[in-house]
Amino acid sequence: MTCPECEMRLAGGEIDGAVEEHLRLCAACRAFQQELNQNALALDAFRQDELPPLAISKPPRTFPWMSAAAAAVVLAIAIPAVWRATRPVPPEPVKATTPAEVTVTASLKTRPLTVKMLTPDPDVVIYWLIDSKEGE
Amino acid sequence: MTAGELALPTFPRDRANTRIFESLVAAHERMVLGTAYRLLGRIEDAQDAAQEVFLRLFRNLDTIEGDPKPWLYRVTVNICNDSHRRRKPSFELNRDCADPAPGPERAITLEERKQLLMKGLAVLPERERAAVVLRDIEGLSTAEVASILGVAEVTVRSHVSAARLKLAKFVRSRQ
Repeated sequence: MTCPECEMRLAGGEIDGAVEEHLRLCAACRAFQQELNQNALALDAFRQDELPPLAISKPPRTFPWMSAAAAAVVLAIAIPAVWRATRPVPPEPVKATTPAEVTVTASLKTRPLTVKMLTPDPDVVIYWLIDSKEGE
Repeated sequence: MTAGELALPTFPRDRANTRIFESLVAAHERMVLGTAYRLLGRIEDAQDAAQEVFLRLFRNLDTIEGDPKPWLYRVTVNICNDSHRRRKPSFELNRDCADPAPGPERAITLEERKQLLMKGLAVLPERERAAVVLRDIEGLSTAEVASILGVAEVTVRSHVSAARLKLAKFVRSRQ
């Protein structure tokens, strides 16, 4: 039996006649066996170690009616606030101005009748097309 | 099942669940935390893992029947393996720097040996680490360890032997 074979069998706790014979002749394997035994004692001693307590005392409790009530309160507060924040803002009202001059560019017999209205702003001219029926 | 440990009824509900959960935490807290500590090597990580184990226990109270101990061990090992994998690279980088240089052999105290074993456990492959922790520290039988890890008994024996061998060489090289 070789030393690695002996070590493997010692580690597995398989001590038979062949292993005992090898141990009798091999000081290195006897030392290794001693090492294994001391490790076994140390590993066993781990169980006696004091560990800090775990901070679990109560599980997370669930109350469905409380969750529903909380959700309702949040919605009651949030919906008006969101609506106020996101509603479209109407444009500023434009002050109506009286046309400065109205020019009729077609006769009453001409269809359609076009009315040109000049505003105080020289860049703005309003054309009013009137399509009236015969005899009206 | 030993004295002071509770077996779960088949269909616990509501308030009964809370009482059962609290009893289970009290009965198994030390076991779960201790196992997580040996597997992870840091008490802070072990506490996080144990919290996760008991959270999963609470969520699964209705599905666990009989003695919850194997379930708790299995979940503890899985959570610790996940945690160990996440932080493995940084540990391996520092491994050689952290260990003292091997010197002449001398007798070491039990505490020194335990510290060396903790370091040795950290560098074992995860299956060997789990097997030796459950078998040699938790004192479970080979059959129990095999059931928890979901492997054959012969595999457990092989992992435990390999782990003991590596730990012995690790400790000897650092005396």
